[in-house]
Amino acid sequence: MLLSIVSSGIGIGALYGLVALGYFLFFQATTAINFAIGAIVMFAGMALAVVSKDMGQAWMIAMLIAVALAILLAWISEAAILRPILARSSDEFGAVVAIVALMFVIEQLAGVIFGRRPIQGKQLFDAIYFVGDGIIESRFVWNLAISLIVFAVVVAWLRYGRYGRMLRAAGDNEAAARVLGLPIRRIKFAAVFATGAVCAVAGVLYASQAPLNFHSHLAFAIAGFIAFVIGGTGSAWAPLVGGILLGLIEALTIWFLGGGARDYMLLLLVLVVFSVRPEGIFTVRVRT
Amino acid sequence: MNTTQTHQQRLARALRTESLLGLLGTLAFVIFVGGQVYRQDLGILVIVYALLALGMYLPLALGGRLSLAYNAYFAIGAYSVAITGQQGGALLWLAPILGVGLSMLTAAILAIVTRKLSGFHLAVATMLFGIVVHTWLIHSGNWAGGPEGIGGIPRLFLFGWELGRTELIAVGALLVWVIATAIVHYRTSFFGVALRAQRETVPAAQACGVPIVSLRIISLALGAGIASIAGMLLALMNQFILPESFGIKVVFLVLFMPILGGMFTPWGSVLGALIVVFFTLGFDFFEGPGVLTFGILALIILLVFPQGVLGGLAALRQRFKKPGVAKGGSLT
Repeated sequence: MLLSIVSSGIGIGALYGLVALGYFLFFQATTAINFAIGAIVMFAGMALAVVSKDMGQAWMIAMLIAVALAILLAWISEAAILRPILARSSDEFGAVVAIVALMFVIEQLAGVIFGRRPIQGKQLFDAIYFVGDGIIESRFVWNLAISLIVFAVVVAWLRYGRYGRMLRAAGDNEAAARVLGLPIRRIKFAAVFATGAVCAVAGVLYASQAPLNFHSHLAFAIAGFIAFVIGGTGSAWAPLVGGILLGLIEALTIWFLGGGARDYMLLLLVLVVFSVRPEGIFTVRVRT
Repeated sequence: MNTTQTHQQRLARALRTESLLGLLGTLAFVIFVGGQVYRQDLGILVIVYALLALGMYLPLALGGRLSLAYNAYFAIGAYSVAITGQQGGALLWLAPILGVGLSMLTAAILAIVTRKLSGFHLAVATMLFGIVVHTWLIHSGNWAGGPEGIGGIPRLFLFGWELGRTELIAVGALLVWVIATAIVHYRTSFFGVALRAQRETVPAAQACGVPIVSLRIISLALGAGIASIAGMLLALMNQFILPESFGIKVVFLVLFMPILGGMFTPWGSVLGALIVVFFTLGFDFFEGPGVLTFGILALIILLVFPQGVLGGLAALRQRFKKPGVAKGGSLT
């Protein structure tokens, strides 16, 4: 019994980690929290489900369309919305409201384009493993595996890739990067590209495992944000750690206290973490 | 001549003008709504949203603290009317005390607990609180009606006079005017200036002896009280309440109202409420696309006209004014 709970916690937590990675990459580029990422994940997932099921296209094509849409939305949120507002004033309230407006627009767009019924993509992984007297659903294993691969790719890109390293520089101190002559616009585009791709992967996985409707995005956005905060910004693996931790806490809470306790747990967790350790587990330590 | 008036006199005159214009607008609104049922349904929504927006405006525009827990205060007001209204309404007079008091207390506690947070962290923490309250109401079982809500709320009797739908609209509109005017005066009062000072720069305000945390808590509590009045009006008007009216989506809608209307005056929140209701509900043939249009409109206004509608009008007026009369002052 405990095995299936832990495995479900890790499996769902892996998806939270992917969403948190989206926040992380976007944060590196803009130092802003893009709350609309939940909506982008949902949009990509719904697009995949609709294109592959209702329109009968091959799954690969649907996947590419989903990725392209996610990148487009991420790009709009950065270039068309956040950048002008942040340039105008450093008042964070304007950015918050603009992101919420964008979230609204994406949500309504999804409702208009994809309809208001819940949509479920093709179930990709439906095997169930029996281990001892416990059950592990294969989708959780695949979630974790795919997340690990995505994270490994992103970490390698950030450490060795050209734009990855430039993104780290710009993320640390954009003004200094600008002075050094780094191509900030292209770096931001690279970050946005990565964010969109990661969101699309998360969306695809979500779509294959649960019905999505155009209200689902808020749950993703909140869970992803909490995972991001728990993990911290000190390392590119942090979002995954945060996500898995959140998934485990959530699974254990539901098992011990029932499904209704989830929201209360989230609130309590948020209040505790934000007050006690808002910088998260992994922080960048600078010698002063 | 403007130069011979003191700043105080000019300020007093501006406040009077604003209050008068607001009163005229309110009267026009009440007359326009009149007795038609459909217009009354929209009218009460405008009033309810205007009050919610005013409740959000006070701590946000003046204090700089974004709290997204307004659906909770909205619900507290509505449920206080619904619950005290059972058994024929004998206890209905308790509702304002209960509703306003409880929501102010809740807001104060939430403000204290989140006092170290800011930006998105504060937004998410307060949003989660609002979600928790909403979830709790749905699962509340017998005493709060559960998912079916509470029905059979009687009408309020004021000095033997029944407050029917038309009367409620008039009373509600009057309340909007009173609260908006109060905020306008509060803004330039001693406490209002202190509140705005700590929004601009905390260290300087602290150096002047401004009690930052207390002011923030008080402004959030006041805002919550205003929001609970909105809930009470809704419950009295419809005579039933459903927990799904108090979800977090309401907060997101209300968030746009001060922005769209203009952040430098509480009347911007009222105008914003009008605009939002118009777009989301007043447009008969735009149902889903109505909200989408509204969202895109909000984005455009945020990007192109950050001063909102009233701000745009004020800027236009400045253009046509005589040169040499400079009116300073911050955006809010």
